[in-house]
Amino acid sequence: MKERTLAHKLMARFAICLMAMLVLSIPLLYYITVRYYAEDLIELVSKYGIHDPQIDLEEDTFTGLLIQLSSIVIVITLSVLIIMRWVPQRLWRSFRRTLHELSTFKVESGVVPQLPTTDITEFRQLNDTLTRIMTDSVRSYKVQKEFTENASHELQTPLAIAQVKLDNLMQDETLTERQASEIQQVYNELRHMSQLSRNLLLLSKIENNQFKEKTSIVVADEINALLPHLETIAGDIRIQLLDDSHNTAIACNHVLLGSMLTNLVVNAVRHNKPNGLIHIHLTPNELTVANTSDDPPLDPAHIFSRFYRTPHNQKSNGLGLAIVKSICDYHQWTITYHHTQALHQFTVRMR
Amino acid sequence: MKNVKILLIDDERRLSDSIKEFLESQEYTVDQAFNFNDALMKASVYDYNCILLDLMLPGGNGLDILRAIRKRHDNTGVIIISAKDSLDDKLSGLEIGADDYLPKPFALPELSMRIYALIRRLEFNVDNTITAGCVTIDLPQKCAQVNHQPLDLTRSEYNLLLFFVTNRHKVLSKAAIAEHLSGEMADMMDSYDFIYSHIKNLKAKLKAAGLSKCIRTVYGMGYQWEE
Repeated sequence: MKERTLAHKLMARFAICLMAMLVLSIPLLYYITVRYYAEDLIELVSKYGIHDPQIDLEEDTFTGLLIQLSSIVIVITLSVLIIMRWVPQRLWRSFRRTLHELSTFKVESGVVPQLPTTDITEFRQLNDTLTRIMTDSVRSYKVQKEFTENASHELQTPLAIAQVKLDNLMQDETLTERQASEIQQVYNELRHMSQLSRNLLLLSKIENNQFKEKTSIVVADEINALLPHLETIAGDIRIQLLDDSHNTAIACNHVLLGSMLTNLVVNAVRHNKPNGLIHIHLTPNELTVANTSDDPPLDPAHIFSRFYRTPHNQKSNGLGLAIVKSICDYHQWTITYHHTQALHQFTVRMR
Repeated sequence: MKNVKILLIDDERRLSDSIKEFLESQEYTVDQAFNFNDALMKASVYDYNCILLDLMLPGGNGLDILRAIRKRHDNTGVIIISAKDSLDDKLSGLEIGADDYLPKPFALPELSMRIYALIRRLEFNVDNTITAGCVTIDLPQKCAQVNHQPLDLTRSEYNLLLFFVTNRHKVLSKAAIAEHLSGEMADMMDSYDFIYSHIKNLKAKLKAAGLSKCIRTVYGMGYQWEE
């Protein structure tokens, strides 16, 4: 549908209605002219028995009527055009200023734009409502952001204290082997707890739109930066990277992209088998991470749910793929899972 | 390195005391500050080689202390230690002039290694080598020698060796080693067993160079470097 300004539409409709009404009123005008203005002349002609008069009243009336009508139409249309060209422009000015201010509004900047003052009741009401909504969303955004950051702080601090205490305790040379082993297990649980709370906070931050900043990022560079770490954890699993992306950059959030890639590749290591294979294929629009595994095909309907665990995998915290999915949704990317040629494949379409 | 002075700014006393205990056992001199004003005063009056800075402090924002430090000194290393998992803070911290950023919770050997590497970097720009017994590590070149025989190490093995040498005599947990080698990926793994092969390979290479028994397995816990 063709988009036009409000003033333009109003003018067009006004002109069309006017025309229609004038056309429709022709019979009425004709009737009025014949019955009232030309009535006496017609009576005279018939009264004095002038046969075949040289005056053609019917036709003259009709022509006169048309001339009158069209001059009225032209004058009115011109006035409408001129009035509509200038008057609504001025009337809608404060509305357009409001629109302009609104378009600059970003909730994460924390600044509520100052909407223009106006002497039109509806616009004033609109501005008041908008200001209230914007102030509210800025405030709740800030509260949410502070909450997640504080929650992170409050959760990580006790974990940090517990961990450094254990780090010191471990240096005690009088520990027995059994004590040492228990300490190690507590230590590992603490690490997992910390990882779990970080993941939950990441999910809630994604849902609260706290990763607004998007930059242009070359995905291939990000993957290459991950490879050394990936090789460290991969052991005897072979990693193949096929990069057909020609260094294509994608607009996305840097932190989230990193998190998505890390989760995907670590997932491919964790569910792999000894002497297995990880195959990463990158094209300008698509990333596929495939891995060999002894696990049967997964259920695509559930793998992206939070805390979903297969009977074969009870160890993980069940958030990795939920985070991947959430990051894909955030960027309006799609992620699909296939099991083909004995490979578990995750494909992210990034456009 | 002699008499390295560290200022530890953290409002959480239990955490601060434990960090201090660990660092002092590595011959560092550690001063503590628990609030904004105290921290600002100490940072501006005394000279430290390294400042460990928590950002959430009673009385003010740690970033303001960082600004004050950067106005005054050029040769103080600053490592931000923060539990506030916020990228904004990390970015603005590094922008204002922090040298490193370590999110809480962290393993003490990791902190100690970062402090060590940072101070070396600030004090020795070119000739930056660490010697531990007959092992020499060239930090800028990222390579190591045993008795002047170069070792052919992978990236992971080099990082592992450096982690051991900068934390000599300390028991390093598998988790701390795993995290040091592979960052946040380590905690996503089901176990830290992947470090075995790297340690095994490093041991074998050291042994081939004539250095055996320097990495001791502490049963149930982890590993320890002994000279």
